Amino acid sequence: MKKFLTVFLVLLLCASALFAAGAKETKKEGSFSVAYIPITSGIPYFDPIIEGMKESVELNGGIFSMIAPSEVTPTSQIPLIKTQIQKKVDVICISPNSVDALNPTLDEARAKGIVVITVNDDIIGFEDHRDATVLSADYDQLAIDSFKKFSALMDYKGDFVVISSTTDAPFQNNQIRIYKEIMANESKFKGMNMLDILYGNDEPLKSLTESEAALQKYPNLNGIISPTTVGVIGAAQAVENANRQRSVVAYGLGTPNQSRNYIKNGVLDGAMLWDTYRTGFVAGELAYKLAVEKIELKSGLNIKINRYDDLKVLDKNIIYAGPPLDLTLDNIDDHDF
Amino acid sequence: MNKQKTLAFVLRPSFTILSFILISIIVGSVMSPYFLDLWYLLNSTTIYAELGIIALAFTLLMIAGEIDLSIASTMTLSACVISRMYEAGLPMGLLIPVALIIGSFLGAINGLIVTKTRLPSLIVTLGTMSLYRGIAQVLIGDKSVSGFPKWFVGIDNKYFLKIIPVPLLILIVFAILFELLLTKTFYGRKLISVGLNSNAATYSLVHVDKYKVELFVLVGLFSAVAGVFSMSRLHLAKYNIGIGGELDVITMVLLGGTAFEGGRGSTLGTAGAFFIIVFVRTAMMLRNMSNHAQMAVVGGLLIVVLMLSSLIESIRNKFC
Repeated sequence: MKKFLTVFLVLLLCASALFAAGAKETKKEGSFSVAYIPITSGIPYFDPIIEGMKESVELNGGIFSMIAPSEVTPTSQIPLIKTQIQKKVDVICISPNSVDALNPTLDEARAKGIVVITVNDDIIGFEDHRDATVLSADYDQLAIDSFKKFSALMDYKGDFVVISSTTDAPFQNNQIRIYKEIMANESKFKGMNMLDILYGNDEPLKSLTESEAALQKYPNLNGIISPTTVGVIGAAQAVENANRQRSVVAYGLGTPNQSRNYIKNGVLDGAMLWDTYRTGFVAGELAYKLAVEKIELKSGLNIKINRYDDLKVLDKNIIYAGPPLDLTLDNIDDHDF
Repeated sequence: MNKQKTLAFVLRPSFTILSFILISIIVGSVMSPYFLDLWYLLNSTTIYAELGIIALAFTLLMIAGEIDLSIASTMTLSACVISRMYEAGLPMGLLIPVALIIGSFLGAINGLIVTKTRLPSLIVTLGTMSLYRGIAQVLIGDKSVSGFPKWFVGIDNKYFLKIIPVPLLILIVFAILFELLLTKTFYGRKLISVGLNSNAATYSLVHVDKYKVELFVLVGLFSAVAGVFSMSRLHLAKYNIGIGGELDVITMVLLGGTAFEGGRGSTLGTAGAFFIIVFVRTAMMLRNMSNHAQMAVVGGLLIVVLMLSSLIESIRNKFC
């Protein structure tokens, strides 16, 4: 019995000693702390956002931390928000996985005086559950710009398909809705004919096979547009494999690093996106201004942002971090994310 | 004699669980200064309490030698059906019992297919797992249903004695009730005999199939309770709530010392495992450790605890 207890106690001590190393994190006096919760871990897209936010928070003398859920489910961010509440951070920046499932938890944070900023994605329709949102660009404008460019590449006529992510992805569905609006309302685009919307679930393999299936099914296809990076890469691969880059225009929203090779070899005629580093940087600046300078946001207010142009606060406290980024053969090497 | 008694006590499975709860609390408070806060720890349980409640009924099912992978889907489908009915104008007070009936019915389907076709429950419920969630998506689509009455939402913020969240209270009460059922009643003994050897149980005039169907119904019922709780906590119902929850539930049940092949188990053990998982995850999140790291630790913990229990079991057989 004694032996057992001794072993037990020794084990216990070992365990505590193991974790004691590097423990003790306490808030420094006089500084502010920002926690960022991205959609999930392991998506390179979010790296520049994290980097930019960290840099601007630290430039302003704050403490930055990041924690991500491992899966994209509507509720996977809830425990992480609760943890940050317990740690009494001053600002929670979050790229929400759900427009509504997080709201009770976000309310809990705000009731404790924590500033909540949605970053990159907003909780559309539930804006009163957060203080402000920093969107990378005016996504509606992006849809218009990218679709118009795609149409121009197709000479404003012909059949095309859309490779989207999942059926319920709000961002992608909104982009597609705008494509349809343009085709319905502007006579210049009457010749554009959307045959199908395919869902690659943001999985590389599924996006590729869906694109290949589309090329098989529609031998006279003139174009593929994708409002998601994984989709546009899948489309580019399929077009290249089928050797139909002359007859099929592949275009869409893609990150520079992933679309670089296809833009250089001519399979993609370009891609559009936004500057994600800038998004993170602006969010970090805004966090400082709200938590430390205690500015009151209202529609029409101009905010000075370190390094970049002044930004205007729009209705519902929406802030666009910058204009859409038009990636072409000429500027693709200027961007790295 | 006395010494042997203490040894027997120390070597009981419940002692292992208790030690691990203690260790997780100690390690947690060393890992973060924000950890050791009773209110916060109890409040943290509400995020996982729904799965914990399912895990209790699941423990009984596993003791009887069966498994149910459709629990998280049953939970979501029950919630989606009643929120659809709520949208159609029916009062929520009436719909809560309706959800429980639906859950029991879905459980009964599982139980009947398993006992009538003699297919392994793993396969049958793997099928109904997708089926039920599919129906939920067909029913309410990709949108979420919300706008529930004020009295209904926020069960995670309602407290018993101002400190114990209601979902946790229910979990504890049922853990005790089921433990009594298992250890003190004839029904419980028969249940264990079903798990140990269902052929022998059949020959000794135990209606094995009836038992199993009843347990599947129980699991369905508890999944529906969890579904209602999730609606109340999240203020909404959506087809993809709780995806992957079945694995968390199975982890709790196994960590709690229930044998995968049936015949042995404890709902108090499951409840203990529930606390271990909540504490470990909470502590790791406070250190901003990634979810992957959390899963690795919980997985590692499961293996260590299982190995330790079988080691202790063999020591026990030798000395006591």
